Amino acid sequence: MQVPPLLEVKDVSVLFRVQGSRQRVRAVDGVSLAVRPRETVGIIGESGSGKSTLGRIMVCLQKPTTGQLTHEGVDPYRLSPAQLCRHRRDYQMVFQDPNASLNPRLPVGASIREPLDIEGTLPRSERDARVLELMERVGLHRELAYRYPHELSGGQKQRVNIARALTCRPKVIVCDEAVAALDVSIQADVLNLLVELQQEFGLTYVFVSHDLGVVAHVSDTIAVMYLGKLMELGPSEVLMNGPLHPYTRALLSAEPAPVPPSMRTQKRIILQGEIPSPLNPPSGCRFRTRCPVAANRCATEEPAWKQHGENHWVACHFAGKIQGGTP
Amino acid sequence: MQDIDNQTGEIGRHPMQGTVVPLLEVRNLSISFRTANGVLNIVPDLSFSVGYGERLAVVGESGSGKTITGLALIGLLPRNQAVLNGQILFEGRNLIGLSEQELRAFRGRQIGMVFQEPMSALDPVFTIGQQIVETIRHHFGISARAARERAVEMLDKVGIPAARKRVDEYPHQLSGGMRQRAMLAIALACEPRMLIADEPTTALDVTIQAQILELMVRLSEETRTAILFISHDLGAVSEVCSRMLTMYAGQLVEDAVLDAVLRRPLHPYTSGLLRSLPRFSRKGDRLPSIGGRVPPPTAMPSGCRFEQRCVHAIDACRNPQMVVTLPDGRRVCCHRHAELHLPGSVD
Repeated sequence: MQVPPLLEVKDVSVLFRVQGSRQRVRAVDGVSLAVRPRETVGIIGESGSGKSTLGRIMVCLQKPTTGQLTHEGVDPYRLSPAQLCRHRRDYQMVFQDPNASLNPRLPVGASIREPLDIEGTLPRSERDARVLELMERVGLHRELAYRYPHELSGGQKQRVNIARALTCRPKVIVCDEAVAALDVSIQADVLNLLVELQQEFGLTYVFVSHDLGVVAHVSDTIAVMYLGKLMELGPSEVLMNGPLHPYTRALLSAEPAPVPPSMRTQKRIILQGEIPSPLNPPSGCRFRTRCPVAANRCATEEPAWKQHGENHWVACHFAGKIQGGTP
Repeated sequence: MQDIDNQTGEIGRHPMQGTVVPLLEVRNLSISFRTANGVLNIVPDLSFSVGYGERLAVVGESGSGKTITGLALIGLLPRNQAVLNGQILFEGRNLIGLSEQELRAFRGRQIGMVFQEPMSALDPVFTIGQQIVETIRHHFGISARAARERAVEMLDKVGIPAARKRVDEYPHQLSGGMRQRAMLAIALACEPRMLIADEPTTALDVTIQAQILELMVRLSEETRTAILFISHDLGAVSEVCSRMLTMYAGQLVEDAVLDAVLRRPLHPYTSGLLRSLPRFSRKGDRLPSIGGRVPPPTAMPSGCRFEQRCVHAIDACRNPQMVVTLPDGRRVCCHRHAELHLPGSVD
């Protein structure tokens, strides 16, 4: 018996209105995904794949047009506004751009304290003490509490964002490209910190990123998205070592590796073209226009979401039948 | 392309890489900035060379001075603030001290540049075609019609589909990858001998990045254009370049052939960069990070600049360091390089 999910989306879709047009764009299209407690789920895909929108749905920042979101079996959109306000505290988010996500006019200590101010249950002195304690926990010197965001480096600002997400002792944190803007050495520090915090506070993470290396390092489960749909879902090791969807294979292969030229063995799969417009997605399988193994069937018939081994799901007609790039 | 060659009387490309005279030779380059608090030295003493058709990487964290160096090579640092000393010899001609007018004839024609963010590097109110035509006509003075033909040809060469239609589009109508291709088309339209690419794929998706990197390698090989690839992405660098310079806090710390440096880096900083990539660890393992930050230029240590962050530092590291050249041509700025055995990106 598996642990019941902490967070689950069932067949969710999001439609956005297109300005000046009656057309609607389907940013997320019928995605189902479950996140178990203390697990880290990575969501990867190119820009425009809907991965950030999916992340926002999970923390109630974006209401799904259809489908259902449940947090520990509860649908947050059925709660009263006051209950929802309290409920949201358990579901936090860390954004990509450390500059844009901090108020430039507030000292960072005040930014970290703000959620507690809104909560309004603790006296000021306790709130301040909590801020300083959290800052130390994320590796920031307490003196920095009185500094403004522009006085801090990118890595420090991202630590502030993490501290702010932690103030209300959440259950889930969605990290949307949380380390993408950082230098590799700083990125390693922040990733180590996130892993430590997860163990210490029993956190559950959803890691949205385009960086496969980062996602593979932190995740237990990886979901691959393309044009609003899930292409493949499975345990991290299985996906990294034996991807079944041609898109996952292409992503893995495209990731540049610091390997000496003399040690390269495999020919890279370089995808042709770019992600098509979500306004007018291809018929059948959405990936078929760039797929190296696409056949006639892919244009007419949308591949079913089929299970291939334990917890491993793939949407491809040729999953498991591809050898070295050809079916 | 023949007509352009005739009009400018361009002679054939330099014979072979590995000849005695390099394409670009930087000798004891020092870059300082005049600030409100006096002159601030950013790059104290930098020497390196780029051969004909060679693809050289410059890597390092933010604040290592790699972008400043790239801008200095092409004379794009603000004249009233930047103070350059030393020599930047391009085919034997020193670029430091050239007038703005001389630089304008040189820039783009001999050395092209591609920047990180194509949306801010392209002019939003001109079409892609107009921007290529402007560059070509500035350097070759050919007719507008011929320049436009050349623009279409270039867009086609960099893999922009329906080039004849796209040439009249504005930058906002192109995707990120297409914009970076257009940037490459502008930079390569004048057939420069060298291309400086400053983080050209950082803003792109990994699939598009793979396309652009492949394109850069192919174009460089076809036209024997040298590339100075400035990046913090060691993976991207390994796909494109054959040699790698590592910079730290304005100094060169290592210069080696890619194969050698990835297998066995000699400087602890290079090793730290290579090891901190998430790809070498398993889930749950701590990433071996370097820790600390690049010291600010106002508080540079007088000894080894990496000493405070280095796990191998000893007392002698507080003394000033020299770049030493090893018998095999590698250069390293660490007096402990012979005794340390540092891990690279492959075991």
